[in-house]
Amino acid sequence: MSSNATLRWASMLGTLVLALLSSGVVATSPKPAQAPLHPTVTLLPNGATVQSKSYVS
Amino acid sequence: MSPELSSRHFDALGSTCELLTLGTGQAALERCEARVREAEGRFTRFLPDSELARLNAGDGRYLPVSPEMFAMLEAALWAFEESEGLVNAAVLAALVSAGYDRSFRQGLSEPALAASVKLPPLPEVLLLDSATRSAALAPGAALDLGGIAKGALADLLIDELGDNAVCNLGGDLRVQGLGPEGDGWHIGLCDRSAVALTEGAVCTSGTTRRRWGQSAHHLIDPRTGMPARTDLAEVSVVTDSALRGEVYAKSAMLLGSGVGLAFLEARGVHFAVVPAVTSGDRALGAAA
Repeated sequence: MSSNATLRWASMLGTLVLALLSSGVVATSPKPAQAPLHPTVTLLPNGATVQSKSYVS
Repeated sequence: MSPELSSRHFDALGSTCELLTLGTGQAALERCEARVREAEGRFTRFLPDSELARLNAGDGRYLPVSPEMFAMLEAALWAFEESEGLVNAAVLAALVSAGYDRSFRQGLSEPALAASVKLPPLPEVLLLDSATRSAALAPGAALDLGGIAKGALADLLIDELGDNAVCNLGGDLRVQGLGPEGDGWHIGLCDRSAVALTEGAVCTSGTTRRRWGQSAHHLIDPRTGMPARTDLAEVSVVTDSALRGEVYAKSAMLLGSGVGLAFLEARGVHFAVVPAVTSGDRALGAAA
């Protein structure tokens, strides 16, 4: 393999590594992962103790 | 001996935040609050030197952004697609036109003449380049990441609180664990019903808070570029992630009781609603 071809391969490899590294950063995205969309929900009776509230604030 | 329940309440992200944890202690709560405040400094549109303010002032140029901002912008694009354009972060011009041009605590006034603002679809004005981790906003476009940031942050920060905790950022709430009674965390919804869940999120959107003037409120309908006219006052949604819950609840609010509830039913999520009380041709929030 000529030195030019070696350089081209090294350049491509470097680009690939950079792309992988940058996608590693993006992997922290808060977009929802593939998880069950419908969690198990138990409806509580009126007057049940509530620990937190999802009210508009 | 059962683990001790620790809690922390504070104002951030323009809302009241609540953190609960069993057995992890105050240090985790303090760490989580610090991360919320750090995120607020990054994503607020009210501080001229915030990262969002710099991006909004970018005038079409690609700017390098932090990993956190890049991820949030990706989330905003996801929210746009998931809501078929109803949750559009490129809404800032309409918010400002409606009078929401400063922090709510500073007091807002409703403009004498309500003006409709044509809002661009987010994917047409926000470009991301993952190779250089940079973002560009089209000239004239500006973002508000308020609701999206609360939902996304609740999802990101829940692990900071341990495996039995609640991260409630202004009504966008993520839970995990069995809670103090062993059957899941008990969470109140907008209609004052309550559910128990061990993993997932509960999010509420509405027009009953952050109102000003006669009829202005913070929930902008991107189809009209004005505060939404809807027959719903509040919607709570239970789903897998707080970001998704935020998007679904806001979409249902904007669509109103007919289409909005069908939207939620089609997705199979549990939800609760509070209808608006109509007065003349205006819909007013019914809940306090």
